[in-house]
Amino acid sequence: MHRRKFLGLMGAAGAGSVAASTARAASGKHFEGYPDSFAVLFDSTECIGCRECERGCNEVNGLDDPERPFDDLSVLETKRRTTSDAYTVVNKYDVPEQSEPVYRKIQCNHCMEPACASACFVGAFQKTELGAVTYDPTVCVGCRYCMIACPFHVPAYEYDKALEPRIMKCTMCYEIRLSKGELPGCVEACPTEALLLGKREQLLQVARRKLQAYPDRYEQHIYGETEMGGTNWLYISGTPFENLGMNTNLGDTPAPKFTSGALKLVPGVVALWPLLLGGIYAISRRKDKIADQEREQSVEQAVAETKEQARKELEEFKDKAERDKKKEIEKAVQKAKEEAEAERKDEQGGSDE
Amino acid sequence: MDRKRFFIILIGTIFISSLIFAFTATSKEYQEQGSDSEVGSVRIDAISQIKELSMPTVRFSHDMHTDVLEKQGKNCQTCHVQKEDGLIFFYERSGSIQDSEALKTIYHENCIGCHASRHEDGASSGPLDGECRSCHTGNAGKRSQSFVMEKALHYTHWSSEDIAYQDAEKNCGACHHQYDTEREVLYWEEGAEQNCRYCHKDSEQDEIRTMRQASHDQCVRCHARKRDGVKDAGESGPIHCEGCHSKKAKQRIEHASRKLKEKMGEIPRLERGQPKVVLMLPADGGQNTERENQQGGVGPVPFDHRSHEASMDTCRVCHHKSLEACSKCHTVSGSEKGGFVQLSQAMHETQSQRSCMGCHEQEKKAASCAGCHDAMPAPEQTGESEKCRACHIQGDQVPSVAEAIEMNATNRRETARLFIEARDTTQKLYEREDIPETVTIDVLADEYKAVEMPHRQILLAMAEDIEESSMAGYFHRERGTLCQGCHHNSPASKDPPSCRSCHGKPFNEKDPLKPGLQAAYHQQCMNCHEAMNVDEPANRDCTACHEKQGTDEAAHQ
Amino acid sequence: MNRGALMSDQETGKGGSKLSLFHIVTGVILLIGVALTVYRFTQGLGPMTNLNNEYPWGLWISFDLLCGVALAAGGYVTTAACYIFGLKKFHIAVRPAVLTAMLGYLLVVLALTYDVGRPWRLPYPFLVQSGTTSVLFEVALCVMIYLLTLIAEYSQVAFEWMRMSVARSLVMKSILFLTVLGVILSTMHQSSLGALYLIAPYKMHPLWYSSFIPVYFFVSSIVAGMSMVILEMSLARRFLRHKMDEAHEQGYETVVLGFGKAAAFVLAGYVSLKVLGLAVENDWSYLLTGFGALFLVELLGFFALPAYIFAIAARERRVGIIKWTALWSVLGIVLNRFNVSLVAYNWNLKVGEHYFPGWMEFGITIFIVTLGLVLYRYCATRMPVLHEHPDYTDTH
Repeated sequence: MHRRKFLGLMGAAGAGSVAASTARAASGKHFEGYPDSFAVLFDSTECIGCRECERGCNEVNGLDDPERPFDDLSVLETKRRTTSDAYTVVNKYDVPEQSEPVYRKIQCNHCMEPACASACFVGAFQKTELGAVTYDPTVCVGCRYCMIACPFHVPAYEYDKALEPRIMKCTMCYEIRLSKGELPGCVEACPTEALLLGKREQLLQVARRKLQAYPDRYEQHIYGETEMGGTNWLYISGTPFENLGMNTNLGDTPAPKFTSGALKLVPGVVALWPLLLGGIYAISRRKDKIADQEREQSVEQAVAETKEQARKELEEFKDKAERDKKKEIEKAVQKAKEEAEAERKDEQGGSDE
Repeated sequence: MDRKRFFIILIGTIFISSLIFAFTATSKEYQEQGSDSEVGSVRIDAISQIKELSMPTVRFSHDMHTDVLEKQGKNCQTCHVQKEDGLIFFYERSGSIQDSEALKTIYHENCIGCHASRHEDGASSGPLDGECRSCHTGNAGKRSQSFVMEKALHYTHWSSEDIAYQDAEKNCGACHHQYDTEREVLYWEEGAEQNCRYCHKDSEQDEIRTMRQASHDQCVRCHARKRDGVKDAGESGPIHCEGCHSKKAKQRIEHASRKLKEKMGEIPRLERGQPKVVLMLPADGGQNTERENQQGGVGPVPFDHRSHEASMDTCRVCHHKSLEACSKCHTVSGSEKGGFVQLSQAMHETQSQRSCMGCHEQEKKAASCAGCHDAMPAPEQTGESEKCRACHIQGDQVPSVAEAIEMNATNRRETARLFIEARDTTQKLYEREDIPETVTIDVLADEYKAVEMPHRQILLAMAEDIEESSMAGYFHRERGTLCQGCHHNSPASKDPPSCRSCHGKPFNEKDPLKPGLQAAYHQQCMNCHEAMNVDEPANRDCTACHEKQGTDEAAHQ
Repeated sequence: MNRGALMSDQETGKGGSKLSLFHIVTGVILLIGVALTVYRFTQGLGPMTNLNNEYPWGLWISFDLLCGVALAAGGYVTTAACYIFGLKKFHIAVRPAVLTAMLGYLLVVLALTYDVGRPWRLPYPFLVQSGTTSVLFEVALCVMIYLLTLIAEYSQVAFEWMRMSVARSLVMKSILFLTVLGVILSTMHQSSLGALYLIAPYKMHPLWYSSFIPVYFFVSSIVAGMSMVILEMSLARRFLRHKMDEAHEQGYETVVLGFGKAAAFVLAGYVSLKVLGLAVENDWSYLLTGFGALFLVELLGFFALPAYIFAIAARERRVGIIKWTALWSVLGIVLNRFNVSLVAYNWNLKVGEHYFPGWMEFGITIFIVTLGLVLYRYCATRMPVLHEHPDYTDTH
């Protein structure tokens, strides 16, 4: 291959590698959490399903008025999820062994390694040092990949807005409350302190102490301690977490790790493919060249053979012609001799009479 | 060409229909048929003990068959083999068989054979040959309620004149027996009756029949025999599964038990020569005199055996392996016989159903107690003298373990009786006038008005609820103990601290387990109501406790 | 001049009524499309689509994006075959394939402007703020650069048409570079479209979720490309024969047979990879469920079967069968993309909560496809795609 072509391919490989080196950000290291980040502990045994948290969130965040007021508890008869009007909802669950239903508050879990932040291709989500995962509507393109990525089915989209649709999800009241050292709307509103705000490490200790002190009351597991690599919203419950509609099969792998493997291969492809393809190209060109050469060679050979053949024939013809000529000359000489002889005899015969 | 086209169309149709099927199948949630919980259905899966089943289990309606056979004038021996003094409660065989093919033959030939002969006679019959899945449905359902010989039922039996054992005064021997391994014979020894399950387990061990076999043989056979001899068949016990094992049967027994209590005040005590009071010691009356044993134990425990009997249904709750003293197996350091469970564990393990403290913990879960006790963290053995002395007698004036071991049985009993009678098991509470009638909670009144709490009414209602309990009466040592249910983490007193003296601002980093004042109020009241099944005021009925402040709350609508 | 002689009289000469029917139908569809476009940008996505919070990606992503990108893979496959692997017999397929690919990607970007909430912000990841941990970022970057690559590759045709020889020769010199770049970029974004779903393992059915999804998507894109080339050459031969020169007419059979044979191999490889994936993840038990039936129908009926038929037809030199099998294979790719994005995704939601596209979503999709057809026809009838430009005969 020509030097120029080779250099061109290497250039492509290099340029691609540089661009793809940003994929390093998707490495598989595990994030232990910002120290002193806040978290919320939800104790399902204290939750009475009064929906004051929903009201608090709605007021503090200035969301639209809901269709049915917050003291209408009949909405609890259907299972709801977060929507573009509601950062958080409370659901009621009937547990077979218990006569009383249990309740769970659903909102963004503010994962330690959020799937939404990993998935967003404009970096609209950020895991802040205070622990909250915030959303920046000024860069969001609206691709909704975060909604695909979130294992908790949390982000909602303003489909009804034509020009400024946003993703809507709980922000732990970061801008309005948390960054000012105040309580998030839901935590402040809860009358039974089923929601506890504190440093994540401390809340884990609180939860463990509760589990130890009341082993009959609680399921011996803190949901969110390790799920999806750990979340900043922790749950303890008096009934198995499946009964609260929570997915207990989520595993401990943080979401970014699922795609970091694929992204790590990018620089590899960019580096190797030019070599591979260049090699194939070189081989195929070489094959063509050799085929051409062989063809030429065989043509030459054929020509040479033909020439040789012609030359030989010519030689033979020449020889034959020579021989023929000689014979002719001999014949002629012989004839002349004979004639001369005859003439001489004739002359002699005349003188004898 | 025609064949080719046909072939293509066929393939195409198959593909499209499989696509349609696949799409619809993904959306349908295939629901398993719910299992039947019919009592009286026996699950036939004997072969599953031998090898993996190739057909689903058979659900056999025993009661239905009993009825049908009864109508025909046939008895249990139609299907059950009769041996010397009893029926073998296997089907058509006298013991367990390990050959799966033989088992299959037994069941098929006998069951289907009977069905076939009925069918020939023109009567309705069960499934016949070839109708495999009519029997092998796999819906064997829930196993029926296990049966507990409650005291009332036991009384019915041992007081009955229809049940007699040879010429003995008592008729315990009619059911209770022991086995002489040398002479290989069953015999009854008076005063040595044991609980059946001590020997008869759930699975056959050492050639002792299972509880299922033994109990059915003992009970059902006798009931069947009696039925033949007694005019009013209702007076002998049931021979149908649902006669003992159904929910209805349980209710019947409970009803009879209540009636008995009403008539006689309490169910008469099972007389087996057991003590009324016991002085519990680490050693079992001199047989274990190892120095180790003598040095173990805080102090002897005077134990009111008789009153504890009254609150149990069966001895097996505490005497789980044998009717002997606990310390016989559970020695101070632990022995192999006791599974290396030390005496202290056996007595104090709070998670166990049969230890002293474990059972007491269970009692505290009752609705009358749970309001206060649910909020208390799991107890830990702290070694506080007063806590131990609630049960153990300990001090310079009272006999120590070593001294008690030296006593003879009579003295020990006397000591125990004295201490037990000295215990004050009456309800202790402050005078009515000393208990505030209403408490106005107005510190946080903001969105809502102050709470006018009917303090005295609540307290007196709770006290009345536990009036009858001598355990509550004893363990609530002081007059202010009941108050500590709400006025917790402070000493018992006539003027206990108010909630707001400890509970203040929420989310205190230094004390994260202590809720703020509002949550303290709500958690304390609401959790207690939930635990004690108090429906009003409901948790979310805010105005039931405090009226709303102001008139116009339209802002929230 | 020359150009005119090649085009207009043949165009208006042949079958006047057939052409105007095409114009009418496509015209109506395009008008409806414009109306829907106005609706989309004045009313938003909500009134127009059945998208909801559980299904943020619907028909437009499944078909227009995923299928569109997969089916436009003919560009890199054909150019790679011709220029890198040196298989000159595919030369006549290069330009149509590049045209299809370029139009395909342009329409993918167009479809995105409908689907995305704020399409004017589509350049943001490159200009304002980048989320480089995102697979979608890589997809976007690669698609953007690849689109430019395709435009560059196609510019050769455009330059010939506009008789700009200098520009044209520049492009010709960089053909190899562009081809290699195209293969690299295609590998990355075809596989990354599958890798998008890697982040949601708990929402995907195990039969379709695998750490090998990127490989599956990439390999199936090769198949898709080849099948599409076969299909469009066949369609061009049927409807635009008058535009084809002798080389294209004669070479058609070679191309179809060649790609058919290649597709057989690649499909067989794909099926083996899928089976391998099943074994690695130990998903055999899922095959006995309803989803398993669908999976088997997709794999065996739409991937294994075409592999077999391609192979036999290539051996027997049955061009007609290869054509139909190519169509079947394309349907298989579409089915696969739909299965991954709409059936396997959120498979465990209750039945009533599943998504089905609304009529307006179908409308936009049909509009976009029609636009593609119209543009293809426009280019193929005017530019030297199906024939060699008489002045530029040195394309190799």
